Amino acid sequence: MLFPTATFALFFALVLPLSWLLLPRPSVWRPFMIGASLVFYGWWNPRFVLLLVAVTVWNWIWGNLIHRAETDSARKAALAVAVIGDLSALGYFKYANFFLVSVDNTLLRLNLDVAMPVLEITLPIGISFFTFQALSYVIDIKRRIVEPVPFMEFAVYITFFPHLVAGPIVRAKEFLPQLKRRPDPRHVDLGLAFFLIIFGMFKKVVLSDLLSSRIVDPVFAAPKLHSSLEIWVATYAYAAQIYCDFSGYTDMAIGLALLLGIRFPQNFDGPYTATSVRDFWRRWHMTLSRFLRDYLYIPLGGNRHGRLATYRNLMLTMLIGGLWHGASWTFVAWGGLHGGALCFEHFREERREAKGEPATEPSQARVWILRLIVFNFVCAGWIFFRSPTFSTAWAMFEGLFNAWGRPSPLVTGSVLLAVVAGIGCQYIPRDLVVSARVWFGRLSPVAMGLSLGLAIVLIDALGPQGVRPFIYFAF
Amino acid sequence: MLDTPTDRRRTGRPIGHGIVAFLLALVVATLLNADVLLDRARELPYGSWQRNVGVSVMSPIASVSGFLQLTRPREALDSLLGHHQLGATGDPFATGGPPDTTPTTDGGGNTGNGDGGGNGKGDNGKPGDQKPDKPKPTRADPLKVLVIGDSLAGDFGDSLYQLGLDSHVVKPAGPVEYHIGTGLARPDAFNWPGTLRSALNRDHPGLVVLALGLNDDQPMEDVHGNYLRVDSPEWQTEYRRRVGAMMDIVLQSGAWVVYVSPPITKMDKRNQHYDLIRRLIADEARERPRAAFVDAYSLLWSDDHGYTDYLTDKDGQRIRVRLSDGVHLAPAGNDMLARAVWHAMGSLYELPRPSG
Repeated sequence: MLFPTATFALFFALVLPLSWLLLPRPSVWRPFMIGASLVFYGWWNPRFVLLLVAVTVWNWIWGNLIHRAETDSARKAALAVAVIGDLSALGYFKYANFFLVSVDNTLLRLNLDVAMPVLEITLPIGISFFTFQALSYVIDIKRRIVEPVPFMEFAVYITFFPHLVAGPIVRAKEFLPQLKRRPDPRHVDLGLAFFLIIFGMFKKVVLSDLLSSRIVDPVFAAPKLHSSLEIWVATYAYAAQIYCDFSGYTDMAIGLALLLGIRFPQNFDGPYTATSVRDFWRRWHMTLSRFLRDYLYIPLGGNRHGRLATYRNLMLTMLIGGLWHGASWTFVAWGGLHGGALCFEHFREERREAKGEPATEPSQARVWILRLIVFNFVCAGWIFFRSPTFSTAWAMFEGLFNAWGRPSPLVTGSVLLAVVAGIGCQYIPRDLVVSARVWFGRLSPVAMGLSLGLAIVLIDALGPQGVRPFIYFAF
Repeated sequence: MLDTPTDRRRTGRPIGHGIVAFLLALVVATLLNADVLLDRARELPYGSWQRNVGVSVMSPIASVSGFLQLTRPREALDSLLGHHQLGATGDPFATGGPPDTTPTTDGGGNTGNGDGGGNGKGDNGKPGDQKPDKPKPTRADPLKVLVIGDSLAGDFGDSLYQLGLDSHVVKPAGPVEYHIGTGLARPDAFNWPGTLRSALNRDHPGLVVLALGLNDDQPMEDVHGNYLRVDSPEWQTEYRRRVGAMMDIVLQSGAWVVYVSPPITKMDKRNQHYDLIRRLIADEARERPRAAFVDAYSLLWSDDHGYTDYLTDKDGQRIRVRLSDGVHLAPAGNDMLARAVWHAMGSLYELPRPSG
């Protein structure tokens, strides 16, 4: 089920009142919410409900075993089994063929014609997200950050439909305590919830889908057929598209969860306003950045073992983060590019500190220059991220410079407007947005409903026909 | 900025207000969008429970909404935005039959034949057809090609254009015109004959590559409103008529046509339909001397004639030819299909071998 569809609207119209009605009786509410979430997930492919249930059962059992283990080594061993199980499922569905084909082609290059078996595997939607959430549970039990919870509570956490298929990655310690303290039905932040849902829909249905169909897909499909102007605009358009698509989804997820009484962590914070690559990762897919920091970078040693080890850990974290996004070397290259940039920034920072130079507040002009540099660096990374192959990526880079003078029919007023809106909306002053939200939250229910209804009609009319799947469903 | 806020200014309201607002928003959006929602319900596969429920629910709502003129704002908005109505009236596939197929002089007195055999398979035209010389496009007088169809056209179209540009004798007549989720089964959802005519008038191609059928594994209604169960003999007759009509629309414009079948997919049930569809397309192409057929179905199947994500290229490298959805093509699959189409075009025109 996709959020911005009539099917989901009907589904949520049933789930929302029933959820609040059943909330005073947790023994009924939990199975109800699990059932609703499985219907939501199974709508796409009922077979994979079994996988979701299996991941849930597996991690709940191992969470208990880790907790009960008496020695530290026993806890470590139990955690290792749980993590291996999770990563095996993820590896099978997401990376098995990538690995087999890479080995096959390497062997062929060595003149060893060993035909590796190729598996016909369908990638279950959202597997990376619910696997990461399950991992956070067992690892945090091992670290004694969370206590094991009853199975039904854990199942609600893993399957809760607003975050199930594309995040945000909500950690056990953020979600589970909210199930203990029942939300107050008299104080729900309606202004914030509806604001996020409507602007999330707008970003996804109008901006993202328009950019995807009008310029991004055609240009990335065949860069050599397009002019330099089209390739420049398509590159910026993809930056706007992926932001609108993914932040639009998480905005809707956060708003829907809020209506159900659950608060999710923030996932985006104006990423294209970043003044360094490190700053970008504090603002882009923040829940993934935190996950990689806490469960990968720090366990690898973080910055505790000297400069070289820090660079190695940064690179490893970003390369694995790249591969998390998809089974392709172009994602690894994207991760490597960001890892290299983070190492460079660390190196500069260390040199400055070694010279004893104080960190100064940059001037406004310098802030804008830094933003411009970082944004263009991020866009260069997006070329690898979006390109299906390295040859497409190189063709894109070449086309940026050597195809001037050709006609550019794909660069239209509506495309430019959507690019500006997709990137520019991150620069709207926060106070203005908050004031609008507060004002909206004070409207009467009738005025709120009427304005929401009109907004839905407007978004539906402005968007292209049909809703494309969210980009991050595939990750 | 328009991201999740970090402020904690509380605007708490009773959830009852939220439920009222949410339900009211749905009612308002449903009433104002009633015609659009009814159209979308009608676009669902004939005979499916979703379509039956959707149409039964939306029909009375659309009537009430229309009576109260509540659909006018959306109509005005669509008109302002230049959106057109989805539905097609009458029989959009009425073409008056195939054009005169007597071999005519055309840049050297040439005709095409009935089966280009994009996979290097099949015969060459119906018995008795002359096997004339082929026109030879040149740099000075290149062949203008237009690729048009469903998402499959969007997959391989640009790869074909690239082959054309590399050859210097074939060039795109216009951007690939593809419409996702469309086909010939549902002219009420998307009017392909009308779209094709508009494209021909706009781009004046010399050759049109049509790729349709991926979304046609569903029941149809004939011109009299009779329900045609998918793959029934009546369905086959009607679908073949529609495929023929699409070819004739191209041929009547003076262009020639290459028709690409849907590829084999990961879904066995759908493959039964696609296998039938490709045979119907091949039959229609065989009857028209200036039409060629590309069998994408068998082009992309495995050695044991089943679905595969991976094929082996001419260098012996295992290459991924399909996307993970099991329907669409990966870049290498696009290149492979583009070469097959080029091969089929070569049965109509004298073309150089593709580079690479």
